[in-house]
Amino acid sequence: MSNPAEEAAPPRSRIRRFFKPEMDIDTLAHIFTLVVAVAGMAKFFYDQDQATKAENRERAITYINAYTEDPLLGTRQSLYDFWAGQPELVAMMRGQQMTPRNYAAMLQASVFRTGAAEPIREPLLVLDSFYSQVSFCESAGLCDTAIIDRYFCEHARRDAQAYAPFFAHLRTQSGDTRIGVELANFAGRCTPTGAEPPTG
Amino acid sequence: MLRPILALSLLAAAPAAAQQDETFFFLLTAPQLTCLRDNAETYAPAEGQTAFVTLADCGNGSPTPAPDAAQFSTPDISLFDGTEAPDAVVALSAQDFACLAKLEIPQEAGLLAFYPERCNVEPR
Repeated sequence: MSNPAEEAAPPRSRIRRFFKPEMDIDTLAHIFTLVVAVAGMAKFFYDQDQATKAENRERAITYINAYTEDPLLGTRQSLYDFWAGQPELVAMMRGQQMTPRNYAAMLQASVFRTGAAEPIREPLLVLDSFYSQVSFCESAGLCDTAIIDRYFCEHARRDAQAYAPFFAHLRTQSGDTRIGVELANFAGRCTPTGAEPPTG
Repeated sequence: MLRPILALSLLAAAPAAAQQDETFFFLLTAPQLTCLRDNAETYAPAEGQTAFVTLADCGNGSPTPAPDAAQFSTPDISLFDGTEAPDAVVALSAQDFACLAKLEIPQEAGLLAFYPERCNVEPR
């Protein structure tokens, strides 16, 4: 049988359990200081995290701006001019399913051996350099992944696929084995949003 | 933006021997290769030009004329992995058709690799 007096005692609140009446003012002051210090540290880390996120967003937006300005704008225009000059090849690419080797052989037979791809050699290197920077910024945690993926993933996947034989051709010509590699890595790991990429 | 400049200087300095890609080939069946050879008059382009032929349409008259609408962006390509599938399309020059005319095509059931630049055909 339990003691009826104990049952009747009202439950003590958490504050009352923690702050006992025998605590003196010094102890309370220490606890208050401790609470303020912990809250201050939490606020510091929160502010630092927010500042880092803001900087990462800013860097990602810088790359979006760079994509719509020269030299990238001129580079993309040169590439578009190249495709505009290859209507039969483009029609084949759009209308037929090809293996990567068949696609590479089509390019070898039509634009590499005729020298038609020479004018886009430099634009391709500029494009590759740009994607390498974007990829490094994202993978190093210096650029906001969501913004980078949202804007660049679809572009990167299309470019990585379409220009893979061009980069292989440039690697063979120059001996620089890194050309096109970072773009392929980024295209492989980025998450497409499913929506059409901005055209900017 | 330093890397493109470095790569371009590498390209300029690359020796001529290093500037050759691996020899490309088209993977075709014996009837497809024979069809291209037999229809050379229809498909062979002018000197310096390239003919694009869809193999499914080989022997069905003139090739489809080039579309008028120009492409103003990087095209989306539909690629699939299939090492044992014959190629859907080929791109051949006038010299490639001249090569085909004198080539002995092995009548084998499997796939043949046609090397235009070597003017050679090998069973796969």
